[in-house]
Amino acid sequence: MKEILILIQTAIIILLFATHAVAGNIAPDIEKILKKRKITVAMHCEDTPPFFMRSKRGFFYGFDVELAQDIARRMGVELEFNRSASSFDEVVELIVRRKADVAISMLSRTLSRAKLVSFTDSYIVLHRALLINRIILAKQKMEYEGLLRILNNSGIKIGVIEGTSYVDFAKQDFPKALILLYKDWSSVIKDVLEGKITAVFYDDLEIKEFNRKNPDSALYLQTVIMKDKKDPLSLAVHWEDAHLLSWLNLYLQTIREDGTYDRLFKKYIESEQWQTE
Amino acid sequence: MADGVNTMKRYFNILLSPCVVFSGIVAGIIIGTTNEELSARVAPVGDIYLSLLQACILPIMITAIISSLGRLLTTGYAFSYIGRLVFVFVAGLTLAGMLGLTSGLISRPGKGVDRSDRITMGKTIFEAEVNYEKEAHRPSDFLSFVKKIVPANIFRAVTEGQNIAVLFFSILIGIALGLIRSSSSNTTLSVIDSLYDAFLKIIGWIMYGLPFGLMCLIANQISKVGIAIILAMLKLIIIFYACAFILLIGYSIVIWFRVRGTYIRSLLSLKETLLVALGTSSSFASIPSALRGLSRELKVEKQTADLVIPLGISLNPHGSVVHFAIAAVFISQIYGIPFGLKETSITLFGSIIAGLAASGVPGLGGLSMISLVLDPLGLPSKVAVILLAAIDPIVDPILTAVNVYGNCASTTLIAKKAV
Repeated sequence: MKEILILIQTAIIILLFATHAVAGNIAPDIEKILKKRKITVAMHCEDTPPFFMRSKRGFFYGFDVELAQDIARRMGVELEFNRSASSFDEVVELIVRRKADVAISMLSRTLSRAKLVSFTDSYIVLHRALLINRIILAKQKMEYEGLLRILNNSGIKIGVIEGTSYVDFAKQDFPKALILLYKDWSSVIKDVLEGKITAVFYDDLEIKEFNRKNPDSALYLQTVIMKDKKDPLSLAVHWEDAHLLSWLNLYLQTIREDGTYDRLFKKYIESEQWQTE
Repeated sequence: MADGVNTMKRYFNILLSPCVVFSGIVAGIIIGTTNEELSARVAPVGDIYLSLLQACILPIMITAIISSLGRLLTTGYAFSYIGRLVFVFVAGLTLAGMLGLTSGLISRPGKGVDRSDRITMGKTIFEAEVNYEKEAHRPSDFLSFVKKIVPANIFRAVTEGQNIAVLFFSILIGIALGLIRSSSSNTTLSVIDSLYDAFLKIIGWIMYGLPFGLMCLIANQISKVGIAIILAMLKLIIIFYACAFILLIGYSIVIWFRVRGTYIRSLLSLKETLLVALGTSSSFASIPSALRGLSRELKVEKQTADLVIPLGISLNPHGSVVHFAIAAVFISQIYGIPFGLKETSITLFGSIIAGLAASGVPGLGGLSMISLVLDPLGLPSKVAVILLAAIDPIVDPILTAVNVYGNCASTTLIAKKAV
């Protein structure tokens, strides 16, 4: 009887050691981050409120910034940003070339990007939106009905910003229209105001933000939010980092349950609370 | 006992005096500007009053047109009369459209609008558009306007308040009854006459509630006005008012020339009509008092008033035409579209058609008819509808007054001159 007890005890001790040994054998993608004690986050170089921006006092914050900070904290490592990418496609490239561990940069997931990197579940779903020159619209007599159908036409020019997912989306949604690529936001806005192009195609959050900053533009540009055309944003990791991907998915699920996500969503997306910071 | 009834009547008649009605309007303005909560609370009362008033309008319209046309045809001089009616309507509408156009072009409400005003307008447009993405109403073109005139089912047209269709049908019945010329058709006309008198009687009772009803209606309307957008579009509003006053003064002079008596008397005879129009912003609601004022006080031929007033509310809306003409010029100036001969003629013709079409559609829906002017000009009518809707509570009363008073003036022109 005594022997049996000792046997069981030893078995338990061995078992405990064994599990501990397994715990030491971490997945290499996570281990790499833990070893260097910091996680490198790829983020677009230009500030894009409300995802990443500086306050008037120079304080760096935003939805994506707080998400990155929270991820680093829960992983127990330091946080480092790599903001060398000047387009969203370049953000993806940073992950491919292993210059960063995870991309947190209001990144839209598209099939062409998914060939290069792995995307997590979406953490915010934006909608595709248009800013349309009202005069061109009125001249085409397409103000009310079948607006999106008529925008998909050979005579129509749609402006998008180079290196964004909207290059792909535009080809998808308006295959017959002429898609023009622009370097930056101000030049595409200038052209749509002057009537050189019919419309600008971008996400609803950015277009609402533009309207907030330039309220008089609503006289000349009509905002159309395509409720049925979604633009889900995801985090992206290298395709080899399968365990990091599943950790991040679990993380996104966890923050939805513990209230962190709600707080961020209320602060940055639902309200304009962040602007007072 | 009889003495008691008379005293009661005297007390009640105080409610009909213009001073009391006017103080009702003033009280409404005060409540509307100072107490938003109270305004919202009295709003249903105002709506009920307006419904009560409008309940009798459609029957009055129908009976008035049928009986006046029927009797007109039995007298025999119908054709010259109809010719005069068409001429007065067309000339009046054209003059109104030209006045709107020229005042818009001269005073340039849409030129040099400064940035802060454009920001206010932009915000108003953005909010309206983002909140109502799916457009409920579709713009109409000329053909769909013509389509609306002919009802497929007259009872449905009556229940849905498609006034132009009802007018068209009433005209047909009136002509038919007039042409039958038998004793039974005469009896029918007499029955219709007494129905007409009965409805007017009901309206007479409802008028006792006018001061209170107007107070509730106006309080609600005023409280809905956004001050910022009013200030941003102040120049346009002033032009609307200036044109309206020019027209109102013009009409009063026409009426004075066509009826006997002093200028003051001709003004006072239609005071109630004007107050109802200003207070309710509903041309239809002011039909009964216009009929009473014209035939009882100004002694205009009853038959003419009975025909022209109900017809003219839909077919002779000077106020709406001026409204659309000025608004079209305003929008073209906002977008910097040059205004040449072609644009001028499009606007003149378009605003007349839009004015006619709008009178058949109740409420703000009528504003969307501006697409009849702006679409041919290649201008965005959506923006126009949103901006006009924002200032509508301020502009609608005076334009309704123009519609109604212009009709009264037209009536005196069509009727034989009083001797």
